[in-house]
Amino acid sequence: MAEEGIDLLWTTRNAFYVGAHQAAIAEAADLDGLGPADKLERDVFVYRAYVELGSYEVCMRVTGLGLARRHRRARRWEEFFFFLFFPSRVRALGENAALFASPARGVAASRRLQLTHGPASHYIATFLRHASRPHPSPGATTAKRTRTPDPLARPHSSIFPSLLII
Amino acid sequence: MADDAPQPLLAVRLLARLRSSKVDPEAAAAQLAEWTAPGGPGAADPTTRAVAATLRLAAGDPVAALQACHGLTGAAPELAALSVQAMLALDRPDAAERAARTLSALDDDAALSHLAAAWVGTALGGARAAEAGTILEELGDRFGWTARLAAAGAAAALRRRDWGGAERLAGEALGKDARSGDALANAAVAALHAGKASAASRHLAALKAAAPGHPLMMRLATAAEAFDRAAGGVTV
Repeated sequence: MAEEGIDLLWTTRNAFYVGAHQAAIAEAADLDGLGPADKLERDVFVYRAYVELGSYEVCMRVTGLGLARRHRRARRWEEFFFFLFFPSRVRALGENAALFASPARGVAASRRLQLTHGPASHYIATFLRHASRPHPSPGATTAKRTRTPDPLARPHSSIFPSLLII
Repeated sequence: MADDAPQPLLAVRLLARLRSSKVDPEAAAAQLAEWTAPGGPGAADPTTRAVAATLRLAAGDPVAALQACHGLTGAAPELAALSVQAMLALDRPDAAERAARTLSALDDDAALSHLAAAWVGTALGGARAAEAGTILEELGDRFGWTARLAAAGAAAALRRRDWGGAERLAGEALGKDARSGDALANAAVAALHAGKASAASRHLAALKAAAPGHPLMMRLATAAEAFDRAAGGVTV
């Protein structure tokens, strides 16, 4: 709903309710400046419009396990590009991978590296800390049904968000 | 990711899986009952409640649908509109009219308020059905003339015994969405009243193919069963 008196989702909502599903999707795509609650409501209307249009796969791809798979693929690309551009640094830092594997110690260690080796090393260390975690097996994500979010099981936020498109 | 997604998105995904037959209706109903139970993750989430109410209405259980809407109708206009539909399905247009008026008081300009008023008018018939037709036309002018609005307009025309108008509106709805269950059902009824039995059976066959679970098909199946039983009693 409106946070500052202006209901940005008004047209999307009304288009959805009268059955103009394509119009609702198009209208939602043009919305800017939404808060987190409005963004969620917009997503809900877009996915519901796709359901009404019979495009069920869209909902399952975006809200389902497909997202985790996309994150894993992006992680592998990161691994590849890091090795391509900084082979020596990756190898040198890889020797200390056990140090970075501990999240608490890893952050402090990567900050120290940032001071001595420049900002890029902080990113590499962050990457190594995530990469050194065991990759979840494909079956594990479907079998695991726990409500409390496990920070280690969650796909890490990519340090190259644009790579998610690949 | 699967269970980390926000509750409303989980509910929408369940709806998508149900519509694409990836999950059977009993399992979906059990999952929704678990979510909407007091203290459950979807107990206060309007989207989860709306999905539950929609499915129960479609399954022909308006009492359960009304229960799914209960308590949140003041905060979520969609749930208020769904409870109007449930009350109409329970043959309580008086209660539905009160609920529709509350909805209009919340937001007089929203499409849902006008839609609810049109549904109530259609159920009451007569002059109110004519009013419902006007409301639906206004909605179409504002937000675009859709298959849903045209099908609702055909229902309003049927209630005021305007068979020609109903046929025209149902035809318009079918032009926009040839597989719309409500449009096919209204087209069949309008054709029957206009004395066009062949057109009616054609629309019914299309309805059976497009939406086998449509209430009209279920009522026809019940009626056919009752007829067979009665006819069997006569011949034996």
